[in-house]
Amino acid sequence: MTERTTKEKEIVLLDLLDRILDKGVILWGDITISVADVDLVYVGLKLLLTSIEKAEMMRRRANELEQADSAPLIEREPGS
Amino acid sequence: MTDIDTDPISGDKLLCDPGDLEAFATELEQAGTSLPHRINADPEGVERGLAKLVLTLIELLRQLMERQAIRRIEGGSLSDEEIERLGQTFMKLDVRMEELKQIFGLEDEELNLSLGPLGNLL
Amino acid sequence: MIYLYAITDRPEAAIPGLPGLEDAPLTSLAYRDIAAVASRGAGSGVSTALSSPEAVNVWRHEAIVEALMPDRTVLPVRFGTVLPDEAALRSMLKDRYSSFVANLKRVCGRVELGVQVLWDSDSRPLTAGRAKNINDQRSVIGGRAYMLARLSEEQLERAWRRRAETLVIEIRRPLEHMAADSVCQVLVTPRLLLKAAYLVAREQMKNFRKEINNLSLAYPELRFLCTGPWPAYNFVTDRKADQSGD
Repeated sequence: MTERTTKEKEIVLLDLLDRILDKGVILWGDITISVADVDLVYVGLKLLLTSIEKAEMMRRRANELEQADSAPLIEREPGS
Repeated sequence: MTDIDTDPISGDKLLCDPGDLEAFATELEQAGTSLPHRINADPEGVERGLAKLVLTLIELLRQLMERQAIRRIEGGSLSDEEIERLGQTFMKLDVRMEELKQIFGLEDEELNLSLGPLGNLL
Repeated sequence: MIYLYAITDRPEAAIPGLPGLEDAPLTSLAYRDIAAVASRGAGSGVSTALSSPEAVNVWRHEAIVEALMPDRTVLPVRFGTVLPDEAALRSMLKDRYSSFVANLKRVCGRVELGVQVLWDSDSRPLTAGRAKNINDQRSVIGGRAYMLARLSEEQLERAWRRRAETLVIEIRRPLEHMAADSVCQVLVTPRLLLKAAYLVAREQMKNFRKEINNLSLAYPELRFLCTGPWPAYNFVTDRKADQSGD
């Protein structure tokens, strides 16, 4: 086995940490509290980002339709 | 290079040596993969942790709005007065953010959140 | 409290003689044709080993997963995964059985290889979001000048990103050709052009390494890091298996 430098070991460790702490089989709800906190924030923000993108998409579509002057405007969903 | 095919699992993990390991180590650390950020439990920590969260979200919105405005300038859908007004607003917002960061003692790099598999927010 | 290390096939296979976390002995719980490899934790609260993922604990977990790999298919479990007791473990195996079986099938005979590529740090436009000189001139320039400066910053940034993506497409092609599956992220940091993981048949590892060497010769301005073989950490997070309708 060749001698590995400290730097090489450090990189391999970083690579391992990236996998073992962040990936692999997980059991939602059974993870320790601190990690669960991050998950909550993550889920909430993901929803936020998705809605902004969705809104952008709909607005662009609405603009396209208005310019094409053919199809009717996108109907607003009730209560939205 | 060691022949790892005979002992594929417990052998050496570095398959290809890029030569500049220092650079990789720096980037991998910055990629923030080690530990997720936590909101501290102590009272002072809570305030700072919350400030970090709130300012990060404000920064997110600021960036989104700015990019939106830039796209509209490109698209030519804004008048000169609107552009002027937007610019003034964003500059003021920027100054405000700097002040808030100073008040809470937060650096630029600290305003970020790990979104797990999505990478970092900002 | 039960620490979980891996889900495997071949429940009849012997347990490696390695110590688990907190020096507890490894045990295996079988359910039909799969098994969970675990160890008992001391006490019922959150253990110190879990709350501090220090290198020594992490390597211990990894050593156990890798010791299982030579003679069975292994789904590595994330560090810090615990269950309250055996009943919960059994119940979890039952609930996730079909997902585990699908994943075991997918990673059987395969290993994960990590690839990271650095590109020139000078390649990023000097902006990184906001130019220092713009901020300094804030008091004297008008709103319009500010927005136009931001516009040109954005355009440079976009062009830079497009270059990155084109480069990544070229690099990925030969590697994905050899892999059953892959995940990748572009520009995780400004210098880290590509961060990827490939699910590769064990026999293909040599060819994969050769291809990395070819790429590093073909792109002298880039630097390639290849690590592995790893257990298939990136390919066992339930996404496809659960959707495949099995």
